[in-house]
Amino acid sequence: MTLKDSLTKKNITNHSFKIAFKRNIVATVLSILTLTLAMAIPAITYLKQYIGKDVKVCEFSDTRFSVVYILIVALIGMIQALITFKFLYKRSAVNTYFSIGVNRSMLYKTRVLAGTLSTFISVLVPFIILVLINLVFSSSIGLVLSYAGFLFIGMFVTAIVAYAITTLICSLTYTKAESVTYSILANLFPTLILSGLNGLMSSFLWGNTYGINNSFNYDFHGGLITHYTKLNPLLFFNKYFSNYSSYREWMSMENLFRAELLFLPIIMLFIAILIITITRKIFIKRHIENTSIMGSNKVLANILIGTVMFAGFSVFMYFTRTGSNPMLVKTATLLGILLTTIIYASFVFPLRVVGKKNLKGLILFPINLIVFFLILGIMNLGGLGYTNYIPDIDNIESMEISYRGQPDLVLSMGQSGGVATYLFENNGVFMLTDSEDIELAISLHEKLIKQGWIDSKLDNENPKDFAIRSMTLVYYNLKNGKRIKRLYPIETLSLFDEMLVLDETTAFNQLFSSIMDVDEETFKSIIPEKEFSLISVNQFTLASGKIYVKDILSTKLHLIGENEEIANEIRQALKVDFLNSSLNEKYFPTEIEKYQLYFFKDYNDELPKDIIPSNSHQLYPHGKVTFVVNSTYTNTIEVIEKYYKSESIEIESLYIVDNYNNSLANKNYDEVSPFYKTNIMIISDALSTLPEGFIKIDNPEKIKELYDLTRGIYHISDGGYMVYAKLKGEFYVITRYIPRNLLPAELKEQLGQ
Amino acid sequence: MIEIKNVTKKYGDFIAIENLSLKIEESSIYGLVGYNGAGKTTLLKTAIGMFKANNGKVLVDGENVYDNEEIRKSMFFVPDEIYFLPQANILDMSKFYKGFYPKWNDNIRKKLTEVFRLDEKEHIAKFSKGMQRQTAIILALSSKPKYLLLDELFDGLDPVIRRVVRELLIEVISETKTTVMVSTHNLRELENLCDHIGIINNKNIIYDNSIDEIGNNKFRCKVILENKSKLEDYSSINLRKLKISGKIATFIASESEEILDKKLALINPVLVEKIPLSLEEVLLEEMEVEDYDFKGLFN
Repeated sequence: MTLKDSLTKKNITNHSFKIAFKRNIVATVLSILTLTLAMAIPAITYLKQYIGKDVKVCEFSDTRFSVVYILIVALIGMIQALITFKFLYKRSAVNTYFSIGVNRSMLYKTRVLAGTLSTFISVLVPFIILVLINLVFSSSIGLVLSYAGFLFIGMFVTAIVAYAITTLICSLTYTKAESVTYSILANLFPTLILSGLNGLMSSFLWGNTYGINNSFNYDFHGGLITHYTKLNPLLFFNKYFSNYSSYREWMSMENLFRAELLFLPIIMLFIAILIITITRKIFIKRHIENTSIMGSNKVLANILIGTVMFAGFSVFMYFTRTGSNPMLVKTATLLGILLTTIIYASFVFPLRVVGKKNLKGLILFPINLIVFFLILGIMNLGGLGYTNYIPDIDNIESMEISYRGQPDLVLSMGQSGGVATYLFENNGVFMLTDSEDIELAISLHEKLIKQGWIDSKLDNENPKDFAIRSMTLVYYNLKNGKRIKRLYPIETLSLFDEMLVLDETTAFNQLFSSIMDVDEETFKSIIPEKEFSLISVNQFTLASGKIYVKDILSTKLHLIGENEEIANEIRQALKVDFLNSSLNEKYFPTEIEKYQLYFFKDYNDELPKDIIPSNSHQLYPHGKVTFVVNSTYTNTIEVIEKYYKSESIEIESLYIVDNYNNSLANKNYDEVSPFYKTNIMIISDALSTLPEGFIKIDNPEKIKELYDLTRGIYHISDGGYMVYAKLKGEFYVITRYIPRNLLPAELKEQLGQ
Repeated sequence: MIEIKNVTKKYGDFIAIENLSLKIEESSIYGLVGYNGAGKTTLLKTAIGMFKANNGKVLVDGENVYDNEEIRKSMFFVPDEIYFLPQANILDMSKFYKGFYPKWNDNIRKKLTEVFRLDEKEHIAKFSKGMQRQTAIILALSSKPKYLLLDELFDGLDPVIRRVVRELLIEVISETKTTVMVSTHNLRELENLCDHIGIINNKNIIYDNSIDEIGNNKFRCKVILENKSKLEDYSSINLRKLKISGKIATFIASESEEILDKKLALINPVLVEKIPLSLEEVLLEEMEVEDYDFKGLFN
């Protein structure tokens, strides 16, 4: 090649680049405006409070919406690529660009370079503006530049990865509609696959802890998308953006920028370059004769549409199978297939992947379904060992397993207006380190594994086979530092019964004693540091609350533990009684009880001497723990009767309601506990919740006879009966429970059983 | 020279052209005719190096043209669907092509814009179809290519402009030795323009000859014999569509005039009428066009 030829080639290359670059100018300008406004407005809003003050701060966005900014830059990258390669979808443009004196390789390179530069400018300019804004308000140039630089690199790489993926799709498709649709799907590909897998795992993988609704902040993994964020081209920088888009000089050292944070963006940049390089070869081999013909790339279409189908099917299964009333598997699966078919049809027909003369493409629909069911089958059969996995006992340092004992007793800071305390009430876990305790817990875990998913309906003949939502947690802390986590969302009532044996572990005994004795050291050794590191034993209501007592049928509380000495006396008596009681005495008492203790957290507010409790938590902002004093708690009864004289209460009528079900029995939240405890309700609330078919008893003799059969505390796995005791002269009812085997036959008949 | 050697081009399973061979000499104007969908555009796009042949090859000046930027710098293709940059005028498009064609000449562009009476600052999108085609011709000629390929050259052009274009092309060839390949349905224009014709049908070139030879090789004949005409009388002649009615026979002869005269002399005709076929007649003849009976269709 002569010098003249070489100059000519260079000129043509430059010319090709300029033409491509000019095409992207409008998109570049709009991108700059969008990103600048989105980031600058919240930044200025925050920074202006620091104007004139010599503090080290920087602010680049509103960190609450980090994923929105990530999506904006990804969209910028996508749009730049779509505009760069828009010409590929117009026959007349293809006629020109593929006939002029530029070969395909050079045409591709100049286009990609132009698009990359446009993307670079689209992200760079907003950051320059933000740096200037920050320098107006902040005193630290180095800080601002280092944070801005890091954020810019991450955001630019996010945009370039989206650009690269979209370039690949543009090279594989032949119409604008396909390029836009498949580019979006391709960029969302890992997200769709992971959400799909997670949906199936939540519905079918027994023991799964990924992607569980974690409003109670249990120690779970988070969803697969969150877990594998670093591998997601769209979201890999999300967490970093959230952590580093603002700085305050009083932040911890962890939030200071470090060079090793650049590792991931560099890897992603490398992947983007790889994609662009591979795409060049595809572009060179492109069959331009297919321009404007939809449905030319069926393989791509079916992979991407298949992904949407998979995600749609799985998410549908997730929502129908993991609620408090899960749909039966067969019904959910059939509806899921219908939904999947609709998704498939709504893509393949408009995009001509399948047409009247091209029904061959339909074969991929059943192939997609086969793949789904294969994955579903793997989940159902234990997820390649996940479900059945139990670590070797020699490798176990400690174990935690949750169960529904007397939930708000032990690990409770008391019920209050907020939900944070439910963490401890329903699923408090404590550490088992004793080898016998661990063996016991493992045997229970094995039963949980064996139980598996159950679709069950309440059956009066076999009430204990009924499964209810449980959120049972199992954690293994291994000697090598690993932590194995499992969650079981449903459990049969019979298994709930078996789990009560955990009350008899060494660990539980130590825990209960440490709280009643206010023994901080023992307490800390039993509570997992990970969850309870900030908790002191004094924060537990049982350990430090004021104590009230009432007759079991009364609606009035009387202060009994008004000084520390009496309170301690009650605690010690209760400790002895509770720890010496058998499981049957605690959970299946054979005699009616007399008293109920109320422990209130005293936050220096004076509580009245006599108070009327209510089922409304808002009336009592302080922590409240109630304790039904069974007839076998003789020491506690003795102490109570030393300081309290019982009052006489008359029952006006009894209402008996059929069966335990999800709408009864202390249910304030989704996970219903089979542990029943007496409660007080305002009569209007109680009567309005009465289901049809209840029995009302007014005869005083009958009332007495039946009342003696009721219990104020019971582990209601037998599916017994709810009773409302309407008190004479009061606007309240007391809720009670009659075990199934105690209700007289004629009343069972009246209830239709 | 453009050499097309045994080229086959498919669209999926559909074969557009099959085993097609053609040679276009330098400084010639080659006219390509054929039915709609015969493969003219496919052939042109393969010849310009846009499409890769499934089999065979296209050589321009001895080099494979596919994706060959060096060769393509000297080639210009005006397709049937013409592309212009959005919101562009003639000046904008001139800048576009100037960057790709080293021999671009602005004087030619100015002169031709005047000749065609186009406003070079007006948006091309506002031009009529014919004006857009004129713009494309201006840009093509201003690029001063060595090889000029034109698809549906006269589409949308009025008779006056057609004459102008014809004269321009002839002038270009005589001055610059450009080679032109043009496809069109307008056979009359081809007769006055091209020096070589190719007819494409059934995926291949079925007729390939110079314009001069067309008039020398095909005749519509009417022969009257003394006695009643018989089939055997004409068996030695390469003919088609023979009709005998008593002493009179009519047919289309595919022979040179000299040979035809000799063969006819052997049967002692009383009268011979020989009329050379026009290009259109040759096309219709070669394409074996059916006669349709439309009587009563619109009652």
